[in-house]
Amino acid sequence: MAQIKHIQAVIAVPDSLTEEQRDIVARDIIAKIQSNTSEGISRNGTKFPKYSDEYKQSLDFKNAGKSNTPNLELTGDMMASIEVISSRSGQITIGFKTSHPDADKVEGNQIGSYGQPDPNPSKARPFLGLPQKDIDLIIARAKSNSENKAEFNNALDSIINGILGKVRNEP
Amino acid sequence: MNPNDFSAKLKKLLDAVVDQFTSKDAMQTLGDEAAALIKKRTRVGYGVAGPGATKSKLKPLSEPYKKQRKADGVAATTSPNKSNLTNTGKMLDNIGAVASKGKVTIGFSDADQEQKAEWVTEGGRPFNSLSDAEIKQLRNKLEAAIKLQLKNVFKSLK
Repeated sequence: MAQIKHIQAVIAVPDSLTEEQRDIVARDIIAKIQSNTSEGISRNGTKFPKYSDEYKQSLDFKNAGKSNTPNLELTGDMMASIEVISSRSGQITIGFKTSHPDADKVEGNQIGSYGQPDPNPSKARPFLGLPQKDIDLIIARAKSNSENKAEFNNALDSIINGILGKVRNEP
Repeated sequence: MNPNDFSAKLKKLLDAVVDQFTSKDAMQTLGDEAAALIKKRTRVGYGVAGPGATKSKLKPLSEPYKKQRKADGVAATTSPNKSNLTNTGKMLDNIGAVASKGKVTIGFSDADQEQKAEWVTEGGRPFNSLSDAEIKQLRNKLEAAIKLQLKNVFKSLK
């Protein structure tokens, strides 16, 4: 089973942030991680190691229509599933629960183990986290006008739920 | 800005967004994306028990069927041993979206392919639903599109 320390990231935030502001920060951090990862950028701001030739030749790689830029997306589920694990004064924890179906895959990418018993840092693609300067920027934005942002996010969630509720599958 | 002013302007703007994002064209785009997610996940080898469920590996193929597939040949998007609801590839290729204003349905345009989908579902390999993570993917795309739309308009509220 994946270890929590490998599949979750604890982000330090100022104690002065309200719960509402921490919600905004957490949401923006997750969105930024998703954006960085889609461009092949790690939590440190560096580029991910390239995919192996063996993986690029695999049926799954071709069926998923993947490009050569490592973006940690096969079905796209793993990246879409990053969530807020907890939020309390001074810190936010984001990532995956150990029960998540992609938890082992997350750990494999984070430490470079990919199903092997030992980690391999040279093959690792750590993605849970952001460079501190990006976190500082997100916090600064959340502090300004946070009441309106929270209302906006709530309204946005309501609209998106309504739109997604209009999608049906047959049979 | 007065909080009441902000709320009123926000509601007006978001009502307009709802109209735009539930138009026939927008629902078609959303449906096409949903259909593509279902096809991709199934071709990689995962099924979904029902709407919003977590994906799981499709039931393995039987040994006699694997031998038959090896002898007969299969589409390039599968292999004789792989369980990904692909033989010729026609069934998954046929999944598409039909949209109207405020509604989109993911399904099959060819009755034969729809029949196949029913058989494989009844045979223990359900696949034609959006998983929990696929709904999140669509949510993320919608959020990005709506935010992009509103980005410039919101500057006027500050």
